Amino acid sequence: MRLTCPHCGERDLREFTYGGAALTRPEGDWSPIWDEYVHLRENPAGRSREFWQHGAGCSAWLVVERDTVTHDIHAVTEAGA
Amino acid sequence: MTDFRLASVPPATGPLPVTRGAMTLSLADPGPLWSVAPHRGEAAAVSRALQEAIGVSLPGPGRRHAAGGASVQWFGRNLWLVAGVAPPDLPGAAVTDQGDGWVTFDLAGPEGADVMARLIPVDTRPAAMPDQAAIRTELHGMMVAVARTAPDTLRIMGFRSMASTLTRTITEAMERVAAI
Ligand SMILES: [Zn+2]
Repeated sequence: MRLTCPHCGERDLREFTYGGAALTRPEGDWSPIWDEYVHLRENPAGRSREFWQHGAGCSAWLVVERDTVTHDIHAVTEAGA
Repeated sequence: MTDFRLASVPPATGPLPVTRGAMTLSLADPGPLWSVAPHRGEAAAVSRALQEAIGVSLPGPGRRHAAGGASVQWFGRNLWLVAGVAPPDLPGAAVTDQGDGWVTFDLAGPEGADVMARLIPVDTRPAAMPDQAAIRTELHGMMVAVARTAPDTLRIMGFRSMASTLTRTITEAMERVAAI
């Protein structure tokens, strides 16, 4: 698998580390939404939105839209951008 | 009163420089090093201040600027490495002394891209990595920075504490290219 980092260009998987599902952090005090955010994950066959870090490259955290069935990469953007 | 001065010690001792075939690996001395990380929205002002003080501005991603004894190399997301000349006071950036952290090698000769093809997962042929291009990548499990500092020279920076491992690893790759 290769990811096109917005800073570094197309790079090999070995430079990246998986950072989990890209979720939106809830606001406020504890609620069942927090419980879901911390513990519950989808396991999609198809499109997924994930964090990856380009740790051996520019160090940026990226949001990668990836298809777990076809291994297609649909989009790579910088997290927080 | 005695005048105490700090003496710099080379980060790698031992077999360098080594020549294998058409390639030579030597220890380079980039001088003192600082990382410069501009605060949010301050990159343009930091770049101007550097240009005024040391004659080199912040290059874009994947590039290096050098003039006189000073150079500024893109070193990652919102991060640059100033080498050779001390940066001015930069209130808009986090500036950190990096001089004790890195070992710097020059890999010189016509087969640099063939040697690097055995070491890193990035194309370093001149078409993909022209003069003054600068990248961050992985070599032997370590984060490194590689820059083309002259048409036939690739400058490799790695962890200073791993200097002898890097020397051996790069030398092995040079031997394998020379043996073809
Ligand atoms: Zn990157």
